[in-house]
Amino acid sequence: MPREVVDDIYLIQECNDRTALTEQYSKEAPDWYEEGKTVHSSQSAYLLLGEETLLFDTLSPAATEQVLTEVDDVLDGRDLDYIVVSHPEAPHAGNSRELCAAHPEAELIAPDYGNTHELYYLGDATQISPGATLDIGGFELEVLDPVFVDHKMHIWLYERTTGTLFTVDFLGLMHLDGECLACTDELNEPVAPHRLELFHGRALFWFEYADLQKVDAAIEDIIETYDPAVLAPAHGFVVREETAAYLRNMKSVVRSIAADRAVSEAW
Amino acid sequence: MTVRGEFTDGVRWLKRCYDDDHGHEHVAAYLLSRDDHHVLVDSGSHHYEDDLVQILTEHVGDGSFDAVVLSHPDLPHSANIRAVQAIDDDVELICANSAPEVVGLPARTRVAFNETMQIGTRDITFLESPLADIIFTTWPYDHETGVIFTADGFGLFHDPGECDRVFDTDLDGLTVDDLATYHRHSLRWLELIDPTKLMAHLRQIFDERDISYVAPAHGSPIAGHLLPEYFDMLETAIEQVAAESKYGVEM
Repeated sequence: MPREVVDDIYLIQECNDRTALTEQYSKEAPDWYEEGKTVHSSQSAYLLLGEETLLFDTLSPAATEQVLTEVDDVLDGRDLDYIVVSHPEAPHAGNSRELCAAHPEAELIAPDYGNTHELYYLGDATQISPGATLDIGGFELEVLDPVFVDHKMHIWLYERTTGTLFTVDFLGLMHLDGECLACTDELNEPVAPHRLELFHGRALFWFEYADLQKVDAAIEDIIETYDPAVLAPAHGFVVREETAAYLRNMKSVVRSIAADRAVSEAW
Repeated sequence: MTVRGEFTDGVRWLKRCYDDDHGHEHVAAYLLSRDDHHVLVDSGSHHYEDDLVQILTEHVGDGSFDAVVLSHPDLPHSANIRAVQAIDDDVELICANSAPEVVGLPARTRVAFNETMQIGTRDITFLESPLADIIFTTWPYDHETGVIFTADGFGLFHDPGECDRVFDTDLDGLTVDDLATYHRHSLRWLELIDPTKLMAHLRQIFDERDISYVAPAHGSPIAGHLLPEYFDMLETAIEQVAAESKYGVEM
């Protein structure tokens, strides 16, 4: 079920049971794990309802019916005007074709990077570059050069009216059954660094080789340039309070991965 | 799609080139064959699905298709998995991904990083790739031929007319700028790393193994004896990319 995380910005979240990780934690639990809870990984798409409507990312092929249904639920009879994919990896762009088929009125938008869009079924997409803006009436989205990336064909978005920064893979983590769709201000405890290390040690494996001074400078630059009011990642909790502290916490997360990258084979 | 004959015994290079901003780029799969046993490494782009199925059908014939080994589920590498499986209902997909349904893959046998698996007549070790874009990327290393399949690592844009080039006797024509161009474009995170750490890890991986050839998905195969020279050039290229970062230490 979608939820409104910021006025007229809806989170549509796909959760995937992580059985092996749950079994591992039932035997040897990290401090954030609650006994009996199932560990989830997740994909998040965000639907913005301005004068026009825009969906950022499309969930994975495992959630086709979910995203088609929930987008329609939120639209409540309105057209879907834009489908924007952050990057062509399946957990983000996995339903772009299905959504375009269901919403032929929508314009598909992909990052302007390289010439291999056809290999990702994005050959017909409108391409946008960092620096471009999408004004959908009520929301003004700036296309950003992503800072912490995996796939090359990649963008972040910043919504100027609400100050929402969409960080895609950065700030992802595992959550527990019962925390689906949660924002950090609704949790009983601060987010444990281990959760973030677990995710980024896999998804952004290259933090193992990070130049820590550059990472620190990049994080400070995000804070200084955007001062985001909201952080909206594709695999983690939405953050609506103390965003600068949450971002700065990632410096120690990256340091931990760089010093001793521990990867769980259960994930 | 074209098939480059065996650049080393029992390894065929199946490829097509695309025009990218910086020149031609290979999108390749490799077919390992011994007697009547075959293993496909990656499945290539959906653009050449029909060609790939035809080539594999001809080469495999009545032989045994032991497995499709997938480096990572990015569409230029994984798009033809189901088409290849349709050639032979028994063909097994092997990869490192923990949740195949989330990345659009059918059921698979999962390997752990650094695990060695016997596949048909050969042993393949699935090394964790330090030069990759997306999560769970492996570099399959075939113990029989000594070929390591490096997916997005060791790539290179090339000029038209160089599509069949194999670096087997020397690295003539390859420059540091060529390597910097590919890596700046394809592995954008390199601007935020310490090249010394990465190169130490890379050299360790290769020093621990007897490598006959490096077989990338987006570049020309490179003979193992050329790797020391190649690594020196790669290190300079990555240092160049890292030095271009706007997040320099002088902030």
